[in-house]
Amino acid sequence: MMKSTRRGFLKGATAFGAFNIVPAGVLWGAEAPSNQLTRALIGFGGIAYSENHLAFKGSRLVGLCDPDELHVANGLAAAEKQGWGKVKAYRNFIELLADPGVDIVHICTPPHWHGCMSVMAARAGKDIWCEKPMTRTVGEGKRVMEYVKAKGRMFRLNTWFRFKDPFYGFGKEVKYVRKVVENGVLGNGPVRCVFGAGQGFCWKFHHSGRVNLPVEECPKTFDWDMWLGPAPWKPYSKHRTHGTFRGYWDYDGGGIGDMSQHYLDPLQYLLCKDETSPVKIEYKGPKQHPEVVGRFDRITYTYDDGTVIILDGDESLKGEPFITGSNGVTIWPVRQANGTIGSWTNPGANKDKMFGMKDADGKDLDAMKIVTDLPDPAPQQTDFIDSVRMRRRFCLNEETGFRSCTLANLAIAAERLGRGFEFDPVALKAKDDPAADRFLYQSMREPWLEEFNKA
Amino acid sequence: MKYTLLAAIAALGLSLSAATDYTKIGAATADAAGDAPLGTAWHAQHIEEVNEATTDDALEAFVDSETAAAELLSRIKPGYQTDPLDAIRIGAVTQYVMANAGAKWYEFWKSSRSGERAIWVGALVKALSGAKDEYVAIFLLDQLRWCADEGKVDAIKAAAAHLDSKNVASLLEQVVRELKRECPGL
Repeated sequence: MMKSTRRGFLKGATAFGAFNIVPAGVLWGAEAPSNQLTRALIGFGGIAYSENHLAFKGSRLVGLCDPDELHVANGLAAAEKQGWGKVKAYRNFIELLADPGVDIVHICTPPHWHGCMSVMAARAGKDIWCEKPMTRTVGEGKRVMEYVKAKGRMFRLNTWFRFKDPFYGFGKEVKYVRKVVENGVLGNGPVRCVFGAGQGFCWKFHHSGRVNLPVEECPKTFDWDMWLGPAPWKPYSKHRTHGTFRGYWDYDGGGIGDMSQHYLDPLQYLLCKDETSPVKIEYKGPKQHPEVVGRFDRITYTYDDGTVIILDGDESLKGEPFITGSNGVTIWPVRQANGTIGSWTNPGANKDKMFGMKDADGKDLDAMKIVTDLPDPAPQQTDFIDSVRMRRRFCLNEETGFRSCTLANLAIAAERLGRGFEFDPVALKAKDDPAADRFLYQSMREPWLEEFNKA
Repeated sequence: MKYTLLAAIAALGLSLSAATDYTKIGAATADAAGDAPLGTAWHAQHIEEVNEATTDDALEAFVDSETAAAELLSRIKPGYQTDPLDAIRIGAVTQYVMANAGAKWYEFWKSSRSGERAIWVGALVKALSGAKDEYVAIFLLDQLRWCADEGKVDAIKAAAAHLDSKNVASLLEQVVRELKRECPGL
């Protein structure tokens, strides 16, 4: 009875969107298992063990699936150890999506599956918590964005720095940097941002594939064809899968695929650029192997208003500030006493410090005082379970996520082209550059293309 | 083994403080795939060769004639065993011939490489028609995706027809759609 009451409410919930004074957890007695929303995990590799998937307490874990039987067995054991009891092992994600007992799906697969599964999940009436990067190409992202919105599903990405946690080399959340940007402290013209080791960001070049892999016999416990899904068939070699898939263009984009939404989504937010994309991408680096992700030296994005973002792969900009305003005011990561920059998992002495700020002459400014005196940015919807219950879009949804994922996909296209190109942020295509568009818009293996394209 | 690998990567990450020595990254992950070198480490060790091999002049030499193009493509080996430098060359030639493919008729300052593109695409199709190995065929199709056009669809289909492989057939289907620009989102 409680279940059907909850489901009936969820279906007609939009009328209640205005009644949000009382927190959903109080309204709905969210702790009662019969009242909890349910979730199932698609894919049970490394990331599924994290606190936002296996251990998340906001919804009840009811099942999982994975094309590797060993992952399924490990997942079932881990779920029980986590206190979820005996959860269901679905034969595949199609069976999982067909289960009316699942409210939310967590897509924990490699990126080449994210687009197709998001669309299929939305079609099945599920709300979606998707790993990053949102999609492998701009074309897939565009389709997911439009479809999820049209189906009225709630969608979030599994990155969070735009609304919580100290941001990499900083002691505080990005909203404090947004306050500075929004209120003109960095001037009213375009800014320049650098992301590299000197600013506290690591591009993880170890996420590289191996050249001259051995072709191996696929273990009988692993469904290689299902794992590949929409990606082109290639001979099985273990390094192309599981913890090392990021190093292969068919599935991801190396460190850019792994980290750029963590880094660039909060930047997009703090620069107030959630509704646009760069008009130019420049690439400096070696020509890439056609199968295997390598490294880059520098990737530069330029927006229409002159804002520049630089991904500093070769660390040649190590001494530069994180952000330079049009008036010369700069923002820097916080350095510990030993000169190192703290990380978000280990802020150390950075904890609760603001960030460094200098004026145009290089004199230190009191960032804490400046920020305290500024008005807060508009509040964000940051509780996904509340989003699902109240049908209120999450702050990092299919639209904002598409834009920050587009930054990743533009960079990956530039790497694979071995050069830069121009981009139209409205038409969402490369400008007069069919070679670039071929990377931005790709097809898929059947039957997954048909599933992706269906109404 | 997975956790040993992750621990090795984490330890390596912590130890890389100054400009990163990418030749060391391969050593940390060597356990995972035997002797196959890691792309970033291989690049770091061979960067001068790669840069020399992929200048415009060096790439132009492979599309000067059908013979030169065919010779380069003959270096593709089955099962991921193509020499990495040759694989990079092939990918770079594909992008070289596509430079300025979208130039407007009046943009005379952007020199199109349509002649070179015709030679390269022709060579890829011919190599496909002679391919006996599934992976070699897939490697070739994977290049045709980026540089052929809709007008070549029939020739590509004919070139792949002799291969009795559902894996080749599925990539061929994908390539045909892409050449016709029937892609999601477009």
